[in-house]
Amino acid sequence: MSVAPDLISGFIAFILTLLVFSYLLGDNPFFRAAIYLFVGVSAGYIAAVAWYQVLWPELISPLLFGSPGERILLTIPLVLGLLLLTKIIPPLSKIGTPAVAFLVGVGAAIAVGGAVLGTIFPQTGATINAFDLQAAAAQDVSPAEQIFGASILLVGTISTLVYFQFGARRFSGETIRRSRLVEGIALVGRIFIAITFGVLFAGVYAAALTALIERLTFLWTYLGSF
Amino acid sequence: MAVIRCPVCGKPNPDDLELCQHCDSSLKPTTAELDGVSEMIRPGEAPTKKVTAELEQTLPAWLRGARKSDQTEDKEETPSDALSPPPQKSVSIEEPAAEEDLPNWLDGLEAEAESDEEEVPDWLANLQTETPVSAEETAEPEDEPDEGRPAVDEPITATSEPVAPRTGELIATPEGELPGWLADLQAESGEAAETPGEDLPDLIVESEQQAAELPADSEPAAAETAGTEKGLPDWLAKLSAEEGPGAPPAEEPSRPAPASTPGEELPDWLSAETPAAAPPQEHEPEPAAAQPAQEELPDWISRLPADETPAGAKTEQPAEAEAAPDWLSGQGESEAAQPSAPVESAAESASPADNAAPDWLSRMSDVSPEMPAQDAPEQPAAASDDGVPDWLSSLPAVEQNIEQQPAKESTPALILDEETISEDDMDAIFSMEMPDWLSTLSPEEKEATAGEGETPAPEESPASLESAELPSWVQAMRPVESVVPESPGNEDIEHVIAREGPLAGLNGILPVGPGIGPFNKAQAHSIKLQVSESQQSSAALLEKMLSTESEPRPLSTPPQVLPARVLRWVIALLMFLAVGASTFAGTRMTPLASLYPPEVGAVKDVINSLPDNAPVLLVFDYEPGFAGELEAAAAPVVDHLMLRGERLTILSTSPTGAALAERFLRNTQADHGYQSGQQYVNLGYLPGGSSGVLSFAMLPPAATHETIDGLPAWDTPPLQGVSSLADFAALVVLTDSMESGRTWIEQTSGYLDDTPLLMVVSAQAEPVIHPYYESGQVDGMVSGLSGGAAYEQINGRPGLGRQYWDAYSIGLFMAEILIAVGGVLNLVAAWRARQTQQTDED
Repeated sequence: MSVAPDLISGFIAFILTLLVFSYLLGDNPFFRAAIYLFVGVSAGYIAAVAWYQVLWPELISPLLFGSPGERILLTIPLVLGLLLLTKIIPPLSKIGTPAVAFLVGVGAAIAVGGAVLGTIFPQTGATINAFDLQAAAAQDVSPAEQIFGASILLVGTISTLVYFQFGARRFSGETIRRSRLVEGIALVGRIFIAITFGVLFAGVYAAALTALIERLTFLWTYLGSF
Repeated sequence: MAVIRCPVCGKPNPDDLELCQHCDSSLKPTTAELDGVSEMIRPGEAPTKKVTAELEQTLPAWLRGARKSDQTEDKEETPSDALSPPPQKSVSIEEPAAEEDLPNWLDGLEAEAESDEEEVPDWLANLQTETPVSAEETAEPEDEPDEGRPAVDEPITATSEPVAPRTGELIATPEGELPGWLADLQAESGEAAETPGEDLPDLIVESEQQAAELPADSEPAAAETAGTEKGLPDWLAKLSAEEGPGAPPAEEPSRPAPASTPGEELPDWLSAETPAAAPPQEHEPEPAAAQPAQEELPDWISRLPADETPAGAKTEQPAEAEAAPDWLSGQGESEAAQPSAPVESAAESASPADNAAPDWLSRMSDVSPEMPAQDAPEQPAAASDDGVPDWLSSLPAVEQNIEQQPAKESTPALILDEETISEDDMDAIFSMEMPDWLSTLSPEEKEATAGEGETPAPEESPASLESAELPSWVQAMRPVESVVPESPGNEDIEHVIAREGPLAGLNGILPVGPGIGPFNKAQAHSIKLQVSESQQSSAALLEKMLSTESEPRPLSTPPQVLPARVLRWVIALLMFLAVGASTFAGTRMTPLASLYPPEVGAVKDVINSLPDNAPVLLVFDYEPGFAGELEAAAAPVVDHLMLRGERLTILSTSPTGAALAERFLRNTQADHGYQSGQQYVNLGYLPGGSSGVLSFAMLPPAATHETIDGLPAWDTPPLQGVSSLADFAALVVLTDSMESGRTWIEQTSGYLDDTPLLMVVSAQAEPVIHPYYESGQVDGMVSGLSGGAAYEQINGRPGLGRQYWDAYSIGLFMAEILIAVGGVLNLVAAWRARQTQQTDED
């Protein structure tokens, strides 16, 4: 009996995989059917997860069976959630604005704080510490290698930032362009940016290739199960 | 001792008496009670209405003398004094603002303005009916004494000098439209000089007709006129009766014989006025006549300030030329045509008279037709119902000043060009409630004429009239229309003239609009855009940039070797064949790399450093589409953890993360025998994104309460002893998204303490997450299939990495070949295109 569900799920997965591969022939109804099915199933699954893993255990159940303190505290998210639901009703959409404002404000504050404390400051310090030869010696890295690597990092960072500097001057002949120094640095930054995009593309390709291999393995495994 | 006549009984009295010795009436004008009112009427002030009926009896004798100036007892009275122009003050009195304010003697004028015969007062109606009477009849009232004549019916002239028409230029007034005072004046000048009847208005024609009927001696004619009781009001009849005997005989011969025109009659007013005008023309010069004339001045005139003396006769000029109204001067001109010597002298004086004509009078012919009669009621009320205006009542007694000052200024005369003024114009002129000469005079003109008063105007322009010099109180009472320009907005603020209210007629007093303040002419702004050259060049540059942006760039379509669809099929076929063949064959041709990235080795070191059975948090934050890659990458890491017996806690910020975690454990780690709730616990979905991550990092038990199975999460064995994020032995994040991985790094960096953070990421997220490893924020990282394969090699436990490695390697090699081939093909295509272009250019 346990084989049957795996067989059915495997068959569905096999069919859906072929439908997705049909996109090689272009946009077709089979591909669209697979996409719509994926979206629908995902939405249903997410709704189920939201109810069973969020609303019920975190809100409804405490309101019904929790202590009075919990109930009082949970009225705030309950009210905000109800106000947020009014966004789906245009005449009442303004009522949900406070809830949205709360979400946006808290989210923005957290994101900014995390970016400043978790990315900017540490990354700036790391760029500076790249020239720390003592640390490099501690890691058994030659100073030349460390300086070379740090220099590449510094040049790449500065040149990339200079590339996005669009200030220009008016030169003779009514041509407006950046100075030659800035143009030269920006050209280097442009190279670094191109390399970065190439790396990203390689990563995407590698991820997609891995997914293709996994799907082909699944197909072959499924077909081999018979 | 001078003798004054009682204003009531008309009998002579010594001038030192206050009361008449005959009737005990006050010999002094009642204005004496207003002597204390030293304030003159300022320009723009509207005189207060007062009932001045009682003043009728006390009106000055000069008014009576105006009609009998040539009959006064004083023989020395000169004609120039008698010819002192009355119109200024007389008309100024006649400025009513409303019909109800009109004095009785103006009623007839107002009535005529509205062409309503019924409103003509009886006395005036009777007078009009008597207009065609003979000259003898019309001359009669002139000789009558002033006794019993209502003062209000007498014209109150600007000067005390009675006016006598001098020349043939008469005011062409329509019949019956003359006010009483004017009729009286005209009556005094009954012996008007003859004028060609065809050129004169009817009124003048009639007056000439009457004058023709007059005998050389006008006294009988005047007596006869007075005898026409039907045509005169009672007061006029009485006045005629009293003045007739008292008329000085010396003046009678001085009156020129009326040169009558056949078929023409002189109106009664002209018949009555002409005799008074004749003597001055013939005899005395003005200086000699000034003193006698001032004896006739009323007290209020005598007390007028010198600067406001409106019509003092100019001593340096002939009296008749300066003092006589121009219309009288014109009459004198007509008389000059007569062969008699006096007429010749009058003709000589006619020219100065014309020169003295004010401009307002010259424009009268043009303005009058345009001024409707109904505009007249807009003028401020200047006279009471009784005909005596308030200003007259309030005038201080300045008679002495008048007497002390020689007559210097000529009184403007009403001169009309007979050739240019038609009868309609005359109608329009006299249809107004106030005299036109007053209506058309502006302060500027007054000032101009003041300077020109002594200089005769050029005679070649008969239409040009000499402006008069009016006292301020007269100027203030001028009609607004004559002062206010047509377009005040075009003038300066100093010339803005109030149109209504108590300040009507004054300029520079009120702002243009209430609350607006003085207005100026709107500053002219050029509609042309004012831009500099640099701005123009910048605008042109911007326009050029925008135009280049809006223009679609032609896409450089390199020559295609194969159609896109076919090329896509070919590439897909090659990839399927390369990857599929290796997958289906299950080959292990490609060896794993002997060297592994340091970040992968760091992960191994970290896991190896973990204590046994330590709680480890696994975060499954990847989507199902990347499950194959993440499972291959994370399987050796999780396997390593399970090999070490770590207690695993699974959490996901993706709704599908919990299910993928279960799938991962089931498909890849089934051989470890981990049971949910025992060796591992799945906390499920952590909502809130960054907020949820931060909340969990701050206080994990508060962020999640139950497991995916509904069990109390923090009571499960895997979470024993864990109350914070730092209590976990390690945090391993499995994510395919750079944002998700960065969120976990950023939000948990402050709460991990010494807890290592390991990342298992997709190959596409590795370039972004790798700097965090370089900075030390991430202790180890496994990225993609290559990282998983490397970790498997480190562990010595091959798994999915090794299974996929051949296909993966072939796929990468195929991609490299395709990229290289594509690059070469593009270079060849570009080279060929360039060669073709050069060939075409050559």
